[in-house]
Amino acid sequence: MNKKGKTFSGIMRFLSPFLLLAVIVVLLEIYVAVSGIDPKILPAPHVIFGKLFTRFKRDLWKDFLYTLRVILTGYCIAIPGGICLAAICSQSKLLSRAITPVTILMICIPMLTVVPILILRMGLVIEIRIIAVVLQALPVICLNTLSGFRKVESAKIELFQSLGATRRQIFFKLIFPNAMPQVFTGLKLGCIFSTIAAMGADLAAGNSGLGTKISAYSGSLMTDMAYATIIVVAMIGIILFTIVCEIEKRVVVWTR
Amino acid sequence: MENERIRIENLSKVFKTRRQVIHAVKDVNLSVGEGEIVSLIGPSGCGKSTIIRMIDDLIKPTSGKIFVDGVEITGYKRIPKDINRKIGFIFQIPNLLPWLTVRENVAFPLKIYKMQNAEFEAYVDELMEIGGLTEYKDSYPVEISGGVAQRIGVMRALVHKPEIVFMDEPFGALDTMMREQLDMEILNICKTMRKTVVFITHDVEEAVLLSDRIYVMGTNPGRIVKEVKMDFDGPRTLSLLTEEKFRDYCHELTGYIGKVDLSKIV
Repeated sequence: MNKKGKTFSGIMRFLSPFLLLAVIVVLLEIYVAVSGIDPKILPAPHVIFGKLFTRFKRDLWKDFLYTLRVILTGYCIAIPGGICLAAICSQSKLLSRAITPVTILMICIPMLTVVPILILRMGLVIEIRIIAVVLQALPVICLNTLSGFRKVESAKIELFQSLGATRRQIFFKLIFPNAMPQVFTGLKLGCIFSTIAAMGADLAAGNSGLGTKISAYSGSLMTDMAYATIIVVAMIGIILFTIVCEIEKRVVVWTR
Repeated sequence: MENERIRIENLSKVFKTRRQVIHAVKDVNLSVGEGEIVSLIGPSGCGKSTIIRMIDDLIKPTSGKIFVDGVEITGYKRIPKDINRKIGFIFQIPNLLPWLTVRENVAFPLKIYKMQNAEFEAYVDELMEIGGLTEYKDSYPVEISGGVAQRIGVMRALVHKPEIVFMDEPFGALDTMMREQLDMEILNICKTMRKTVVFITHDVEEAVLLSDRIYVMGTNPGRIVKEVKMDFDGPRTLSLLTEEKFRDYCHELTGYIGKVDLSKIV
């Protein structure tokens, strides 16, 4: 492909999700206009975006910062926590076998059950939601990292053994770099789970945060604001995900 | 034998699985002298790969003794570091680390052995030049072909200037022309630097072309069937492939391998 062709396909690759979204928005607009659906159930997209831009600063900014803080803090604790836990467990076959079902269990516990217990113990502080995020994100990161640590080709281990490498050298120069693709899978899932957990915690705790706002707006039938808030939450998740993907592209250069 | 570098006495290896017991190697005796190129040839499963892995402490023998430079390495839990450092191992597959560049892969043993200094760094560049790898030095393994990858594996095994080199069917996956070319390159390097080589192959011609002595092995159990000395005058070149003496040796050796198979059936 000539230079012009290459740039064009590059631009198309970048624009394509936006184009798809634009198509979906247009289709929704048409649907709302044609079907005459009650705006309290599904408002027209232009109304939602209108509300989003006009009301964001006034109504959503504080909660946006709150939720952002919850997600980022929880995620940044879950990352080293999950990786270190996986590193420890990978040293023992028994431990690895034991930890897997336990971590899956942790992910499955709904926030609605955990958060009230935390409130009883700690009161309505921001730390509860951070703990909730960590409880969901850490197991995911840990499981994927552990899976990466354990999936090493025996031929590569033989190479290190033939060089008389120590256990420490094998871990840091083979097992850890080899696991990077899996680690990043865990990190990407982790940021999705962090966002979901933050929303779940908000709904259970309910005094600040974007999740609380969504619940409040739906409850008072301000559906357009509810959808607008949902879009804000989605944006947090998407931007975080994209950042992780960009870092991955620079770190994991060896897979296609 | 004078200046013996490797001696193996009554070496055996038994693999026990749930269903069967496999005598991979049984009562093998062999030796390799200084600067010799010795080949182990034989059908698949005759234990040749197992033997060199036992010498390099990748597999533990069931019984028997292995001596390297007079040191009985089977007496140790792990092969002593200074002996390990004298050995270079070329695997059947390139076995490259995908997150390192080509140059970093070649230089990798220096990192593990903590032998990184100016002298060896210059040697890395020299080896890459010999192996025709300089143009790839900043590429990643995922970007190069199989033949180039295997050459990287070969150069990597030589980077810490080992005196003893083990090669486990190093060129098995390559086409004949590339194999012949690389055989000559390896021969050149090993003879010039007086390296002691144990070479494993199932290609009889390759073995006859390169070796000073050949051990023919048989399967079930894995054992040495015959030892043959290669008596050629003058340096080895590809022109040898056409000579009568060469063809005679190949014929003879194929016969020994063939004989073993027949007796297995009968």
